[in-house]
Amino acid sequence: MAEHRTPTIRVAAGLRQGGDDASPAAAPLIRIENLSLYYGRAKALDSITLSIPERVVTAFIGPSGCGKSTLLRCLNRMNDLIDNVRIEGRVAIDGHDLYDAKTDVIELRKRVGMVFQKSNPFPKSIYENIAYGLRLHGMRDRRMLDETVERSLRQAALWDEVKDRLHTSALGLSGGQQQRVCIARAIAIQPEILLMDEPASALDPIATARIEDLILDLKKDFTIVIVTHNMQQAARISDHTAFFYLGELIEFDATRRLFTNPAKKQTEDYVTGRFG
Amino acid sequence: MPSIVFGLFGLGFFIGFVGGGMDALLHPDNPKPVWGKAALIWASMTLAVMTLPVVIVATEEAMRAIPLGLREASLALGATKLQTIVKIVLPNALPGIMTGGILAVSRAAGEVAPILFTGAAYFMADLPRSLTDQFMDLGYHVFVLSTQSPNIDKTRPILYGTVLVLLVLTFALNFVAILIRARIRRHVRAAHG
Repeated sequence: MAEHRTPTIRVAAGLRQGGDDASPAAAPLIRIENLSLYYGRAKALDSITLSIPERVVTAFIGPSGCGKSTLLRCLNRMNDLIDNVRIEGRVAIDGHDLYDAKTDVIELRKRVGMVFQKSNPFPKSIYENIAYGLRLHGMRDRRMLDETVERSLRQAALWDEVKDRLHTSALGLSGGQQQRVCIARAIAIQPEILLMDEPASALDPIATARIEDLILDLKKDFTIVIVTHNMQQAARISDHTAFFYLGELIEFDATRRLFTNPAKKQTEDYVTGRFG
Repeated sequence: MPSIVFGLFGLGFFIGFVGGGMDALLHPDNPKPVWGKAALIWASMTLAVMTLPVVIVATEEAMRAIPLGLREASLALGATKLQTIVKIVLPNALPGIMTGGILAVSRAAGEVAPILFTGAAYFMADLPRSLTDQFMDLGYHVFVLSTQSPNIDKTRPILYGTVLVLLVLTFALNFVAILIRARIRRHVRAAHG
């Protein structure tokens, strides 16, 4: 299913949907300004400035340890859970500063969903996995829960595979299915933004292709930011790509331009596979 | 720590300090102590203090064993820390917590020293009726029957009977606890697939 799809075709398709060669600065939903992050005294991110537009897929690429996952986790304040993290600069969604003292982190995480590298369904039934977030946010009505669970699973392209076993454990599913349960769980509470931290890195090529198809499908409804190690993947699914190296943003541009005609030598070396 | 030390602690702290203090406050005119004497409640509390570390360590370990990924998943969905603990961490840690509870109960059931000064009676004709009553303890009763009896032959059947009740009771308690634990574990496992 993945074999006949060459990267170039997917890049073109992606860009057509996102507006041809649209500048990444157009209609920013997320605005990151001079963001630096320190783990203790080690600087993990160095004055990142980046604007992420609405309803497109933005990919963060770069070698391991370049800070791309750290930056992703700044966008829903998951870094708050780590001790000794210090953040300078500003991250704003719709103009609201995430790190303002008045920001409600719970509300923020409701608006900014996240899918993790390692699929992490709860040890509960498939149904309960999806219903968990809905119940947290006050949905009690059985019919509404049923409907939302079904809609989310359909959106995550999983409904047909699991509709007869909704009340069996999510951990009995395959790795790819588990990851789609996690995606369904994240989109059930209808966030505006979906963060994905290498969502397909632990999956086989077929499961990866399904997740990629799903991402292209989901960008109609969500703004997606994806961290990936896999450059072909970034080329296939993203509209904009940011390349990071050693905590710095080296280049950010429309994916096609970044892959075919990068402005910086470092970017070119990385995307052509000369290092990284 | 030797359990007799807990017994002495219970005598000094619960009966002397807490019980004595309550008497001074609540019954200043009553010459006979109401709370400041050996009683069921103080023996229970002494045993609780003695077994608490086992329960705490087991609970901590069980909760720590829950993968970070599950907590993160819950928090990323907009759950508070408390919601994450109550809905995700505790239910999955339950078998481990139960194990700690079973160990604690088994240990407490076999102990005499902590309750010797804090509540166990040499002999009582009736069952305790309130928290301030004393009570008889099977282990202590075995000791009393085997050492304090003027007629060994006559008390021997009672002695054997007491020991049998103690053994059956402890066994039943543990057995039921293990059944409960196995059931919860199966429940959690079933969810694990």
